[in-house]
Amino acid sequence: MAAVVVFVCFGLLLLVLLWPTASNGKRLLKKWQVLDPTDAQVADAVRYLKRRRMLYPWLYPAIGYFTPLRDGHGDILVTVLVGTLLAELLALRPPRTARRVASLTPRGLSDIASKWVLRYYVVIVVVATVYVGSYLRWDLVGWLLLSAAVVGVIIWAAVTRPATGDQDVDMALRTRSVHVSAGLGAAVAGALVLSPWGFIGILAWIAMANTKPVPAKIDR
Amino acid sequence: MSAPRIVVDLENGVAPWRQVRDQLVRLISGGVLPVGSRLPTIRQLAADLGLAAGTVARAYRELETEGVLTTGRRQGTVVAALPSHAPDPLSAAAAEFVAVARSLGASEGEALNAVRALYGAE
Repeated sequence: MAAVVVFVCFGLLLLVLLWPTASNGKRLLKKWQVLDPTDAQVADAVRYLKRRRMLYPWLYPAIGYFTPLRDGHGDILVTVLVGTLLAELLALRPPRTARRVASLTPRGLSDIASKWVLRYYVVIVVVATVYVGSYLRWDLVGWLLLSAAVVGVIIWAAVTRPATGDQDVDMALRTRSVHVSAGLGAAVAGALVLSPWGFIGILAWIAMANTKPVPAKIDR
Repeated sequence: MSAPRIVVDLENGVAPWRQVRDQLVRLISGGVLPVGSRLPTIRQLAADLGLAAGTVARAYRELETEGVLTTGRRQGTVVAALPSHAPDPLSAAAAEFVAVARSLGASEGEALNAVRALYGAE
């Protein structure tokens, strides 16, 4: 019981520390190539961040108990990954207003994400799976494949979910979802396979989350 | 320049597939979507508009039958030709204005007032 309280308190602390403000939203948009965002665009970005971060305090205690990643930073990684998954799945809900607007710009995975981020992530998962498989650690193989499936669903949802708000912001946030989820997947693989060298996965996450999208595809 | 958009109003009495088809015809006729333009997949447009895939598929199918659109495995759906009964330029411009006014949430009266104000100003 005491452990649960500690987990919940830590989750709430995460929420306080990560609570998105307008300046967070503006910084996020500039990072993802919306260079001079309006107040409405910043509001879209803050809403996107809130939908994810509101989930962390509740997911963190639950995940801390059920994953094999209680040591170190693994439970935080899985919390953020599952939070991203739930937020993307919730965003799949169709629009409910009578008047609906859609852009006629085609939107495929190659239109919103860096192919290098995706290729590196696939390589990391394959190498990590072969490595732990060679030690017959089928439990870790299972967790790796589960994390890869979660990343796959997030990427699928980031491409297919209905467009909302400003088009430039919508495309930028889809790119962010794809890059950050691939990076989180790489960090989870690092935490599962490379302990105590899991920080290498964190470095891969940071690199992927800072890889710029292709300007010609996004800046339309 | 912002990307061309489609507005579907479920309460205006016109079938959604017809609204999609008519707006595509106007955008193509008005040169907003020139020949060779790639269109979103049926699934993407249906998800963004909150419609069944079959509804958007019907609009695309009608235009494919008329030779306006063509769908290939590699290139997806692209504009193949201008509609045979292209509206005159004034109608096309009016249609584009109506689509923009609708996307801004303006009523018919507000849109007409905006046009009259401009005519009166000249």
